[in-house]
Parts: sequence; structure tokens; C-alpha cells
Amino acid sequence: MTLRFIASGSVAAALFMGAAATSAASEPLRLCADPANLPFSSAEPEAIRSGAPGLYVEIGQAIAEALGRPLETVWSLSYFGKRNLRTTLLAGQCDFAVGLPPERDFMGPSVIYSRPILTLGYALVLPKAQASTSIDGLKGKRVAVQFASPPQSLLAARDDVTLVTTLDPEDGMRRLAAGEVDAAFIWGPSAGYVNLTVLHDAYQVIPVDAPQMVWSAAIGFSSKQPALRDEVDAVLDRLAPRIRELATKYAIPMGPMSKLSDAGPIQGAINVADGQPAIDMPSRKDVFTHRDFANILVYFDTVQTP
Amino acid sequence: MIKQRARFLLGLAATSLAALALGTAAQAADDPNGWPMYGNGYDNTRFSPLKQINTGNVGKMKLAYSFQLGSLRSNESSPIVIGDTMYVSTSWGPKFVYALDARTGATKWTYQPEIPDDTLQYACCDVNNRGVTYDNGKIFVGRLDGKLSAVDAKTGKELWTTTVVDYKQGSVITSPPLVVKNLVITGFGGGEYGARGSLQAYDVNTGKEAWKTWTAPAQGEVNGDTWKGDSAQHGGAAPWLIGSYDTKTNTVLWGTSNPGPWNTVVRSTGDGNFGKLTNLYSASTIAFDADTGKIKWWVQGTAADAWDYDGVNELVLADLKISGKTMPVYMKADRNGFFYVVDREKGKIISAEKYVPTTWANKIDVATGKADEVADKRPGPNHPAKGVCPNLIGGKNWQPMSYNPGTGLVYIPTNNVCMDWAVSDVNYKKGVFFLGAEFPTIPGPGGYMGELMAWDPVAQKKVWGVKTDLPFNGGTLTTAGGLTFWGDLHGIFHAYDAKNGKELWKASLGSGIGAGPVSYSVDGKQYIAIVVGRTAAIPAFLGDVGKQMTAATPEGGALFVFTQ
Repeated sequence: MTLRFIASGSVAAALFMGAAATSAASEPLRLCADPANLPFSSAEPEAIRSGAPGLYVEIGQAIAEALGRPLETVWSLSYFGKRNLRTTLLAGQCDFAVGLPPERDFMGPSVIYSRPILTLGYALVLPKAQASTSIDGLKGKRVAVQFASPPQSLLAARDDVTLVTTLDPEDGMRRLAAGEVDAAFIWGPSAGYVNLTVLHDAYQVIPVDAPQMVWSAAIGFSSKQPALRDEVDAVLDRLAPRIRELATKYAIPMGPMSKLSDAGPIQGAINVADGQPAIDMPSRKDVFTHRDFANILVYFDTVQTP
Repeated sequence: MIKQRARFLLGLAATSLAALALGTAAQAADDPNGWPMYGNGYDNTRFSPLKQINTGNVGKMKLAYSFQLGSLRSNESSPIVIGDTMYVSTSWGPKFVYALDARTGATKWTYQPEIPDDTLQYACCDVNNRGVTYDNGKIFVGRLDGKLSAVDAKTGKELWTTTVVDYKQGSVITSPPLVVKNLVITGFGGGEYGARGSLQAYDVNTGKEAWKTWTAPAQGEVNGDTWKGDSAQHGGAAPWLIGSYDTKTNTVLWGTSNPGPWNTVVRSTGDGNFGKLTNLYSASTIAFDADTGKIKWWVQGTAADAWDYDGVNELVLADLKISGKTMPVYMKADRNGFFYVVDREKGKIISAEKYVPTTWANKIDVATGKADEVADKRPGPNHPAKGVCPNLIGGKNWQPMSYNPGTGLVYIPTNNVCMDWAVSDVNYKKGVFFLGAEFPTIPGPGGYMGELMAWDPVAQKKVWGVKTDLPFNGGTLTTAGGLTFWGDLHGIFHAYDAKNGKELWKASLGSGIGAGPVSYSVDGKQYIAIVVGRTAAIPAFLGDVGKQMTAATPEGGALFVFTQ
């Protein structure tokens, strides 16, 4: 079941373009996105109204604008990423998906990618007072990890850390805030977003540069759309500052990465993709206005908190 | 005159039997004309004592009627027949449960549960449904959205609905529950996605929970020390297929899924020296007290599983003559490639032998249940395993086998597929990148991937087999008419001489068959019924082999009923 939602902005854009709407250039560019996957995307009216529909939605908007096309968002849940893409992107239901791993292993030759646009990965979340970010620094601590995640695999090989397994990173942050764990080693974008929007920036969210912890994210297309991919690639240089701003707005963990020098190879890892160093990022405060911040807080209060 | 009167009385008895709709599940099970539950009886033998259709006349079998289910793909339902009414469910939730006149296919009522439209996202292995359960005027329906509903068998009106599990954690119900006395008992799936397995019992009249037994014990509970850290909390071991019931000992028997996550370091040692970290009661058969849910004993097939060898396959109960002694046993064609014959009163393995090409272990120690593993076939940290047989769909998957007390043989829909198992470097799930396991599928040795196998459970050897190019074929039915019925993934429905495997009849039904056939008799006429509609999600795990599976037939969804 695919839910469709045409962002009001794109309707306005389509109306504005009027007669030109018949040309190929003004055909809507259709973004595949999950309706409930903040900080990446949300179909909640409140999220849209507050100006924070998600990082991937805003990147999609920036790309559509750069190509002179209105954006249409095709919503579909991505609980199982590959299955979702098979029935949306690869079935021609939408044109592009933001935030896919540009690896041939991911879905074979049926998905093609833009150049990487973001570096995403796992992060260590600690109280601000705590300095140590080595694995040994977690000795004797209770640490929240996600089920079947690389941090779980890494820490499970040690017997001096007490793991508290959660199904999603938001629950890891909740346990941290409730004092049930001393640290969380979870998916960075979720940690950063919850820390910012719900926990009043009380924690440090440190991206971890270790095997299987850092991934490049790109924009994915069906292999039947190489021309569109090339068009998007051509505007990415121009959009890079905007994408950096947006990543900061949504509190994607950036800045100095912890090397976790004592991490060693992850148990279970065979081939380690080199994590690209994070691109130079402006401070979050430079791009995230107080108004944005207030809006997101309101959003979380109304939608996310029980 | 006397003769006439006797015939009248006989006729009356037969009519009232059908008209009374047969009371409890246990009473219904005693009616030789019906097919009162998924596996025909609590013993899951899928044996019908009917013999009007037999080896001599099956060749002339004709279509009585067909019925479109109105729901495509992964139709895996075993219809049940109570008196003159058939109850059949469809895929997608189920989208529909139909009550039909078992003679004509005329619809009596249709039940359409309100299934949310996002369930596909959370169902790991497709939107299948394997049927419904009858008891005392009620039909019980396990649902993809984690709910259990009771429906009036006469009207199709919903009586109650209770939530068994939150489907949004990747847990769904795809199999019919088991009704024992006043309890309706069900599990749910989701072993790979962080669920903690449990078996749960509800009052048949109210839907109120009577007991719930975790099948992955936490720290501090008995056998909780077979898991590392808190891993049991998301350890899988979910009993998601069909249960059996031993009336003599008041014991419910159920198989459990593999443990999660795939990385054995998280829940065990990561290698074959797992010691006590066996992850009980995953990949096991568990015996529960039917009244309390208390675990009496268990037999684990695959300890600290590293291959996705679910232990859910159904337990077929029979009394076998072994070494001159009649033994109460359960039989299980485990996904791990071994056929288990186990004393079902003591929980002691009698024998366990390979029934398909199997490379991960040499043998099973009958005294301890431990596998003699082949070291380089256990995938683990930094060492992928190659040439592992069976592959993750197992020597047999969910498709039900049958046991014929006349021939003494078990009819197993087997798979002959192997795999390499490695850790791929990246995967994506709901906004998160993580390590994914890859398991390239390799056809097994011998140039075939599926085989209908007639297996002697006492001698533990194959008696006859019918090989086929594709794996994941349908379940089986066997009858006192000396027949074995089986549908394949090409959509061909076959009848064989149960003794020697000679094909006596076949019909092409248009879509791949996964379900098991059933047989029943109404007004003195025997029928054979089968649901067709091939799988869609499973082939996605199987690469090029999967492509062959989906290319074999279109998706479908129909019931076919045959008679003389």
C-alpha cells in the first residue's frame, strides 16, 4: 500500500508553472519516502506545518527545485528497506530515494546511485560531563544498543560491558534519559535528533569512526533512469552547502569523530567499507533558528511523547 | 420392514451428526467424514480414513467445483470441514474467511476482518494464512495484525477479538490456533526481527488470556543462562506454525523458530564451542501442559543456531512399532535435515537421521540431542561457511507432511537446496544501516531441488521419491484409499499410489501450490480439496532460484474440489 501525498509547495509550484506544465521538465519529480521516519522523513501534517518534514524530504525539495520540477512525495513504509524499494522505486512508483547505501551489494545492478551526499553512522551518546570515548571507557557501564546492529556485534564480544538491547534508537535515548543505562551506542541521526528535539541537547552525540559504523549515503534511482541520475549528479556540487545546512538543522552527528582506536575489527565483519571523513560542517546554531527549534519541540510534544 | 427402519435410523444418525455441527474440536475430530482441523486431528497426521476415492478409481477423479478466493499470492490455507460446511481462509490477513457448502461451493457467509493496510511491511515472510480452527460453534482466526478473532460459525459474525502481539515489531500470526478444551492457543512469528517468542492461551468464550509462556527464558528464569546477557529479550524462538496435542498426557507440542539475531556472538560464543549457551528453547520442540502452559520438557534440534534452521515444523503424532514395541512418538522433519522420531511421553529421542543432503552435521547424538557439527560449516565471526546443506529454507519448510498408518510411511515435501553464508557489509532497514547476512542459494546435489519423499520412520530410510526441479512445493495428504496427494510449485496437483509412488492422476491448477490438500465426505460422497496460489516473498531470499520459482506460474488464489 503506497500512500500518496503531494506537498503543498509542489502544488503551488505546479500552478505557478501553468502552461509550461506539459513539458517534461515540469513533470513532478517523485520522491520515495517513509511517512514515519524522522529525522529523515515524515508525512505528519504537524511536521510539515512546522517546517521540519525531514532531512530527506528537504533534500528532495532542494533537488527538485534545482531541476526546475515540482516535488511529489510517494509515501511508503520502509520497515524492510529492500522490499520497500522493490515495490516503489523499482516498480516505477517514484523516481528517487534519498539516503541509500551506494553499494553494489545492496540491491545489485537494479539500483544506481548519485555521488555520496552524506556520511551517516553510529554514535556514542554520553552525558556531557563524560570525556572518555574509548571502548575501554565503557567498561562496567550499561550501554543501550539496537538489536542486530554493528555496535551490538562489537560490544557483545566483550564481557565487561552490560548490554541493554532495544529495538529502535529512540528507545535507547529514552532509556538513557530515564537513567536505565549509562550510555547509548546507537544510530547517530536518530540520537542527534532526539537529543536536540526532546532532550534539550543534554547529551554529547559523538559519531564513531570504526569498521561497520560509518556509511556513505547517496540518492538511489532505478537503473532505468540513468539520465535522471546524471542530472541530479550535475546539481549536487551546487547543493552541497544546502545539504550541509540541512544535516545541521536535523542534528545529524558531525564534527570530530571518535576513532575508538581500541575497537578492533568487528566480530562478524568481513569487508570493511572505509568511512569517508565527514565533510566540513557549519555549527548547528548557525542554521537552526530558534523558531525551528520551537516548532520541532511542539511537534515532538504532540506526536512523539506518550 | 425392519431393514427399511434400520436404514431410516442410520440415515437419521448421519443427518443429525452433520446438522449438529459436532460440538467441540475433540468431538469433531472423531468424525471420520470431516476434516475438523488443520492437520485433520490433534495428531497432525493429515490422514483421512476415507477410501471411496482409491487407487482403483482416482484416475477418473473430476472437478466438483472451484472457488476464487479473491486474494492473490501465498494462499497456504488448509480448509476445514465440519458437517456439510467448509471454512477456508485467504492470504492477506486473512482478507476473507468463507463458509461454503462443502458439496457445491455455494457461499454461506464471508468474514472480512479489518486488517490494517501496512501489515505487509511487517510480515517477514509474506502475507500468508494457513487456515482457521473450529470449536463448539466458533471459528478462530489468527491474523497478520497480531490479533486473534472468534467468529460465529453459523453466521460469520465476529464474537471477540484480542491482541496477541504488536505486529509493528515485525510479529505476525499466519497459522491457525490450536483449541484444547476451553482454551485457544496461538504463537506468532518474527524470530529475525527482535521479537521474544511466546505461546499464549485464551478463553474460547471471552478471548481473555489464560496463560502465556515465554519460549526464550530471560536471565533468572530456568534456562535463562543459555543466553548471553539480555539477548533472550529479543531472542526469537517463536512458535509460529501449528501445534499438536496429546490427549492422553494433556500435552501441547509446538516447534519454535531460530534464535535472533543472526550474529551468534550476540547470544552465544560465535563458534561451535558454545557450551551451555545453546539459546533454549529456540529451534526446539517444546511440550507444554495444556492447562497451565508450563513447560514439561523440550528437545532442541539445532543448538545456538547459525543457519536459520527454524525448529517450527509440525509434530506428527503416531504410535509406531519400534523393535517389537509400540511407542508413542512424535515425528518431525526438521529444517536442519534430520528426521526426528521422539518418545512423546518422555521427550527422549529414539532416532534422528538425515532425510535430505545435509552437510552442517555428521549425526545427532540420540542420548544428548547434540549435533556432531562439521566445524567449517558453522558460519561465524570472520569466517563465512560454504556449501552448507540444507539452506535456510530447510530440508522441509512449513508445508505439512502426512502419515499413513496403512503403509507406515510419512510423505514429506522435501527441499534439496544448499547455501554459502557470509556477512555482507551493508544493509538498510527503516533509516538504519546495519550488517546483513547473505546466503547465496545453490541447488543441492543431484540436479533436482525438491522431492516428494515417502519415508519409513521406523527404518529411517526413503522408500520412494518423486523429484522435481523446484523447491518449496506443497504439503501432502494421505488416505485409507491408498493414495497420497501433493501439489507442486508448477501448479500441478498429483495423486500417487501411497505404496510405491506410481502417479495415478494429475491436474494443472494454474498457480504454484504450497498448501496441503484435505479430504472429507458429505452425503456419502468423498471429496479432495486443495488451495492454490504461489508464494511471493520467499523467492526474494533465493536469488536466481527464486526467479525460477516465481516464473513457474502466475500468482493465484483459488480453491479446487474434486470428486468421483
